[in-house]
Amino acid sequence: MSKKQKNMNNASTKTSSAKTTFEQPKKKNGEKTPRDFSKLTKALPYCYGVVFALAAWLILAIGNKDYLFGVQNHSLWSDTRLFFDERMALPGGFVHWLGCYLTQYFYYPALGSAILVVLWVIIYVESIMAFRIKPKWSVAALLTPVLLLCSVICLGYWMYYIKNPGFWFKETLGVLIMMSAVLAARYMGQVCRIIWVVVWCFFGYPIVGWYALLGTLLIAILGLRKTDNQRFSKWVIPAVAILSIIATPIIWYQHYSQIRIEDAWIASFPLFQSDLLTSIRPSLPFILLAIALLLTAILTVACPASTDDNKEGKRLVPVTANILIIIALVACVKFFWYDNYNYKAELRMAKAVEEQRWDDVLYESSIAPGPPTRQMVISKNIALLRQHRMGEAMFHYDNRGEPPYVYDSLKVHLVQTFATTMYYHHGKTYFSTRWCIENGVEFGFNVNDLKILTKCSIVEGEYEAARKYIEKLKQTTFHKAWAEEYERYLNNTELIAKNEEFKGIKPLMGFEDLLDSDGGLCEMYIINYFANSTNKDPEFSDVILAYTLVDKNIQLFWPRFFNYAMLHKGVPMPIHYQEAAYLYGNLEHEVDIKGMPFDQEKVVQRFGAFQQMTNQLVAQKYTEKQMADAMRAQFGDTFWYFYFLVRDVKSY
Amino acid sequence: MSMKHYLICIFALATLTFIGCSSPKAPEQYAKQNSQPKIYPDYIDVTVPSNIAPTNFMVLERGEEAVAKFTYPGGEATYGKGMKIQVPEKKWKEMLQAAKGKDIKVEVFVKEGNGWKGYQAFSIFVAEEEIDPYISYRLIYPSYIAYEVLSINQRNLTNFEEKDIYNNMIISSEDNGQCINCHSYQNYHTTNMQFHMRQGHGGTMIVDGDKLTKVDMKSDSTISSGVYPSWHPTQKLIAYSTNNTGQSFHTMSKAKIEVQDSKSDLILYDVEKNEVTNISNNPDEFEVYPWWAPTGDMLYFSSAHFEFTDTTGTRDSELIRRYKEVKYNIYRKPFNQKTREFGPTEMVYQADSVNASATLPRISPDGRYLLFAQGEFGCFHIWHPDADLYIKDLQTGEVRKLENVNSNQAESYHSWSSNGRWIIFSSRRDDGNYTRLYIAYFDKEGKAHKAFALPQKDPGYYTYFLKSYNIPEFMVEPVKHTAQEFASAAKKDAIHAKFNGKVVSNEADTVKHLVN
Repeated sequence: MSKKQKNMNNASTKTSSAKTTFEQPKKKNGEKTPRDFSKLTKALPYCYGVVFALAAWLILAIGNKDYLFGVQNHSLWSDTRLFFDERMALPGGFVHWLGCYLTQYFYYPALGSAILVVLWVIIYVESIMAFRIKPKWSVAALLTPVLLLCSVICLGYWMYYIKNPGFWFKETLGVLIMMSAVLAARYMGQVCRIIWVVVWCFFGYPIVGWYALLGTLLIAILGLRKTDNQRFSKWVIPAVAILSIIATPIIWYQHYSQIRIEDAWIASFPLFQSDLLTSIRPSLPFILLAIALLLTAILTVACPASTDDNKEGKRLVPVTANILIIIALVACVKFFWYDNYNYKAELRMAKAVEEQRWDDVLYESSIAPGPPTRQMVISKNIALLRQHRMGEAMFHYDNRGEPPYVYDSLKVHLVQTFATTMYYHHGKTYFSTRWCIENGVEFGFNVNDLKILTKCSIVEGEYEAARKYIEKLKQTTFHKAWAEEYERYLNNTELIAKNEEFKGIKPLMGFEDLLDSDGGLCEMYIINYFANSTNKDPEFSDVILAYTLVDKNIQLFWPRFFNYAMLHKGVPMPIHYQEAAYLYGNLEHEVDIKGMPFDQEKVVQRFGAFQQMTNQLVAQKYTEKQMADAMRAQFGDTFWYFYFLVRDVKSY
Repeated sequence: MSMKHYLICIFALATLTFIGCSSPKAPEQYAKQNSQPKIYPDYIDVTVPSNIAPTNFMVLERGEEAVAKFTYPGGEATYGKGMKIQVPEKKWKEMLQAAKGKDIKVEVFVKEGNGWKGYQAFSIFVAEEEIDPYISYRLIYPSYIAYEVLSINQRNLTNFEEKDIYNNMIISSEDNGQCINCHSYQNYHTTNMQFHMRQGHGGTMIVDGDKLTKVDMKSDSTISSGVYPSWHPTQKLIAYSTNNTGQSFHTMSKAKIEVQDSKSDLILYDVEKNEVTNISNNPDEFEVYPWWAPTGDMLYFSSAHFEFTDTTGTRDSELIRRYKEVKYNIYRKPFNQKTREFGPTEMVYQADSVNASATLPRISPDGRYLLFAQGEFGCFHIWHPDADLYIKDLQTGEVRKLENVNSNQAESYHSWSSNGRWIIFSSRRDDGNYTRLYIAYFDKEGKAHKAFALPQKDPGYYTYFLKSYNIPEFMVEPVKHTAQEFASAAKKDAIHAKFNGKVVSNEADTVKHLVN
């Protein structure tokens, strides 16, 4: 700050502090003088900061808690030199590493959110200081943290596809360090600043990646503000900055063997790519952020502070602008926030499955307001499978299954989101292991995968492999206890035999080895696999019969139905199996069902009512969809409804 | 603060630093144990080269603290921090030099509660012969189909320095990924070397002195580009197999993955002429894994006789069904280095006669021993838990399972050091899933000694490192080109190799006679 400016600011402060009355001051000649809003104006940055912090925390900790818990579960941090070195193998590696560490704190979503919000508030304060934003314009400094908030809450299913496990903190840390560098430059003399530009750009690059280049550009622009007799240095800083921006990535490229030269200038920029898709929307906050920061810097240079702020007419402009900016920021959050019910329900159900809270899984399934996703249907089936109630209740819940909602053309596949859990709970542990590894290879290993790999290895008897995954989990901050709990099972067949979870899975592993593949369609594979299997284990035969119903295959049904009956003598036949037998018996008359002891009320009479209603609606020329809607309330919990009216369900 | 205070502070700091840096001491009083300690990696009673990096290890016994006392000719030293024993490189070199041809005695003590336990000492025998200073290997997750980051790395065996020779991420993009595989050097030197890249910017990277060239060897008459390579020891010729490879997955087997060739032939690439010729392309034979004898006058390879019988399904589906019937034998073809022609195929080892499958023939530098991997079936033994290393004495004809080096998990991807005294190979013995490199001493009598894991600075490294080490190859010098130079060459269009239709083998692949 030049002496001239300092004096002006001091004078302004003195003048405003003298005006303390709430009455409207009058000019000496009797005219009204403008109201003194200086105190209120001075308080604005604090107000904005507090309101933003509260709002951001509520959006994160309350509005996104399921998602944030999922985020840490699909991320990983290891307390090892190897993990650090692997991150540092790329530009921006340091914030990546630190980001991974802090992302862990979403294990407690409120805590992780609080840390993130504190960092955003620091960025807000730094922005005000670095750009010398006047209190009345301080709302503009919220743009950066708001965009960072947007970047966190906009991901949706990209959470599974992001190849950047510390993303949720990494970008914030990058901006924070960058703004610190820009701020530091403002307090330096010309020579120091020239040196700082080079030093920051060169050494900031491995720490924060592209933010080092952006920060250098900001320092260069802000350097143009010097207007007094320093014409030479005024242009030296931008020149040095531009040279540094050009040269730094080229020099560092010789050090990094994992980055393409053409990507060196956007190193660690969050790109969202999957297959042939590059999605702009999740990257948009960062593009806007860069533009906003550059514009702010340009405005800082181009529009020197005015001294007649208290004039009535001049005040109206900032007030209006403040309101407009606030509206824009709120609209921005609203636009970016991926707030999809099924997505969050999937995450809640996945957590409940992991914690074996089967009733909670079923509760989530029962309260879903609309058609569930296939992942929700599978979760529900897993819960019923574990409770041995598939035959009793699998059609009590909505079985339609919608594709996940995405805002771009991202192709969500179950093999990337839930296959590992699904295969594990169906005893196909080798396929579960396969997808854990495939996904780990492509998107990076995460806590969720490591836990499933651990459990699969334990039930397969591969204890040394399990020990490796346990070792990885012990290196995290919040999953050590889980790892130590499962460490007890290594080489302990007695304990494994007593574990409720393993007890349910082991019987389903009774199949022969063959060379096979699911072709990436894991749900169809499971349905076909079980529907076409035969097994003399009672639990296995139950799952076989349940999936034969899902497969709607009459020929496969009867032998499996009788096999089930043989293996469950003295046990009441589950209602859905009765419904299927009664329907198939009446449809094809290939099996004599007259002697079968069907439940008169729940099956025989109800089927009569089902037929009657069907006939009525057909007579009224209802379409299939209209019939499905009309009959859902009364018969949506039956196999018959599923058989006739739930069609064209596409897995993904 | 007065000068006196400053001095006190400096003295205190220096004392603390000294205490922190000084070696721990072995306890004078301890309870003697009747067994040797459990340590990881297992370096108990192993033979190591006199230029190897420190064999740091973790003590797996119950306790809070462990120290190891190393006694060597002319000195002793004690190290330990927590349960890890890490020896400074400089001190370790001093020990190795002093103990050349002799033992380093290691006594391990573990503190549990208030007392110490002392275990039976073990030895680390230091061989006179050195090991080649460098190895290179591919680091890869034990993946099925997906891949992302792949690298060929170079490790200095005399210390812990490791660097990328090439990393596919230097050229891969999301929509144009690149897979890299088999690397090969001419006679342990890196002046002439090659590795292959598939998919994005695909081609075979040929290093011919200072010249880097990307070559496309695929032609209408060959199955694929060159896959498994072997540089001729003296001439600028590379023998390759060309393969049509697929993989499928076990539903219930610790083998997990089955990699199969439904077609494979052998070709010869002339680097100077940029020309490909056929060596062997019998449709009923899956010829693979060529390897030159050190003299360059013989080409060894594996081959399985397999006739497709199913006329309704695909070759791949039939192979998946009959995968256990595919058994490879080891053959060789004489090579006339002047005319560059191959002679008739000779059977070297008939594995199928013992209901087995033998792959990856590697001849010792003195030409006497044939080292290979053997399992029940198939060509990709690194996924077969029953796969072990075998050796055939080409002088006596004796074939035996290599003593002291095998485990109940897969062993494969073996390689001889240039002096023939060391063998390096990949093994899944640690956990069944992740291959680690093991080194074994092979003495003048043809006996292998207990294998030991490639040393790492952090002895716990292998317990949490999730990549596998594949295809270790010894080198007497580091690779001369940087990853950036390789990337630059890889971005250029590949030069198409000329295909010379002639078969450089002078007979139709009928096996003439059995060697020994």
